[in-house]
Amino acid sequence: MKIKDKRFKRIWRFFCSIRLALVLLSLIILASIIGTIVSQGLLPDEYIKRYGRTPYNLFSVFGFFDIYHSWWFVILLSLFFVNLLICSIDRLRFSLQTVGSIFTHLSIILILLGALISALFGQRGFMDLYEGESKDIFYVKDKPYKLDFKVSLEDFDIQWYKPQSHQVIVYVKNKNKKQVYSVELGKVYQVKGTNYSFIAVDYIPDFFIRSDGTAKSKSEWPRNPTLLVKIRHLNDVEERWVFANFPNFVSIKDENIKFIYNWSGRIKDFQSKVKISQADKAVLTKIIRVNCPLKYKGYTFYQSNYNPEELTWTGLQVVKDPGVGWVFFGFILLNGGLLLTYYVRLKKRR
Amino acid sequence: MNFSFINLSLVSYLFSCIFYFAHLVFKRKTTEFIAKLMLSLGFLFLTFSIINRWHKAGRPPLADLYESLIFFSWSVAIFFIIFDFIYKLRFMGMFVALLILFALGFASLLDDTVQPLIPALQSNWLTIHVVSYFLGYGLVTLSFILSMIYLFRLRRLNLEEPSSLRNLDILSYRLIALGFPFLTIGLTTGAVWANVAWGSYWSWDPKETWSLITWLIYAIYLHLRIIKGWQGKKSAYLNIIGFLAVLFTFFGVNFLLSGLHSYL
Repeated sequence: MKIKDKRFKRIWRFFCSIRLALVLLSLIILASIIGTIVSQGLLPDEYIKRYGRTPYNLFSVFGFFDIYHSWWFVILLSLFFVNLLICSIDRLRFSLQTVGSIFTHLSIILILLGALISALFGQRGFMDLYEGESKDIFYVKDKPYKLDFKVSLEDFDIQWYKPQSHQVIVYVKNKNKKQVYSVELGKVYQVKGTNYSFIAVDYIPDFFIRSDGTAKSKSEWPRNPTLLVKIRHLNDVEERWVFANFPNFVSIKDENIKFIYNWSGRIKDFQSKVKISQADKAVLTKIIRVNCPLKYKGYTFYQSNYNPEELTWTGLQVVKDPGVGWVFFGFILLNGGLLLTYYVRLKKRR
Repeated sequence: MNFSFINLSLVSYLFSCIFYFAHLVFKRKTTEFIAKLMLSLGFLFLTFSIINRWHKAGRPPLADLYESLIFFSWSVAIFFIIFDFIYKLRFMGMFVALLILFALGFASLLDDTVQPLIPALQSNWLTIHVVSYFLGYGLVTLSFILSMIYLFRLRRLNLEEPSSLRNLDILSYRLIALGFPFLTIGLTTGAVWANVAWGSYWSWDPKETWSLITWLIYAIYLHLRIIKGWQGKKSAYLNIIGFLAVLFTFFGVNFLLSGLHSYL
């Protein structure tokens, strides 16, 4: 045997071992655990504050702050990739019994390849738009990437769930009582240790008074959440509005009792109506929501952020990832292979 | 305590535990029978509880910690009933009842108000991702219990492995083998969903990372058993490590770490 053959065989033998796979996986697992305990990607000042200067320097050297992209972690993954590839070629002979196994191992190889393609050729950035604005650039970190089409925001909309309950804090001065309630509309609540009871009669999210004196809601947006509370004390009954945004606005005649209304709402949905234009001609219009992105020319636009103070603004995540197809095909192969291995009886199996 | 399916279930499992303990002492057929009956009753109430909540919420009840614990208990319960029917696992019922009692007890401390879904969770992927994960967890949890029983019995018998223990060992392997594909479906659908929601199928988020670690440990378990012929004590210990990883993935990440997944 020639020297080159012998050396090749030695390398092949080395990468063929399950023991190597175990060692590599154990190291990958260990590194992964460290990455979940040490927060990743923070600023140096934050780390120095948390751990102190010397540990910071030490961790920095080992790349603990971006561990999953550190050179040695990538080497571990690459070695594992080669290990897996050679093990699979060497040990898996095609037969009815081993089809499942071939699929699962091939799938991991494809997934890792897909991840590599994502890392090398993927673009992940951000684009923010005001209503009416049109852009053809997105930013990855601070680097601009140009698109050959324009993206404009036609409308941004946000919806809240109707609150199932409202947090109300009641103060009774002469009894020195403070009680917190999770108030549902129409239910009677007693203020313990006093003669007070109350009911929340109505809820208005965007309160305003019409010219005829009636209270109405300007919109569905909780810009001025207000609760109509009916307060009973012995034989006296009052019906007053309590404003979440104006806790010091006192309308209750009885000076002994005070209501504070803390509004907290749950977002139901936020969405952007986006238009794609090519050479000043509208090509595509779609409403983007979380879990419902827009795809165009290899780019995908995700509803990412919104600003509760500025509801005509939207933050979109812009992604181009040629590796996704490989990874997802790998997933199908992986699950198929496992089902074949453990859930399908192919001829005689141990 | 108010009338609810979940409380009825909890009481059933409590009685099941009590009768199993009684069976240890009295060793009568009736005590074991009642204990098993209570187990099945508990499972029935769990099922009603889930259906009821599904109807109330207008969506599958799989979105928060409370709902997850209920579904996890249901998963352990149904798989135990199935495998007990096939393999007659008499000794195991008590530990299953104890475990579910624990899970339901913990759930009863949580807020059980039906929460509407935040935008990120409004997706059909939620169902398949969570269901497959908890079906997988149910199977590997049963396997963990079997490994624990195996190790305790082995210690009592002083390293001699009679055939009854061998069957325990084989079954604990089979449960991992059946559960692993579910874990994989959960892991991969999670990645696909992440890509649909956030544009990234893998971001090394602590929850994602720990679910990968758990998956790798069980993959290593399967390889060591099949290729290196690991069995008995060694693989029982690895199985336990796998389960500890499951616990950390499910609880540890939420309570001890922080990240994108922190709503569950």
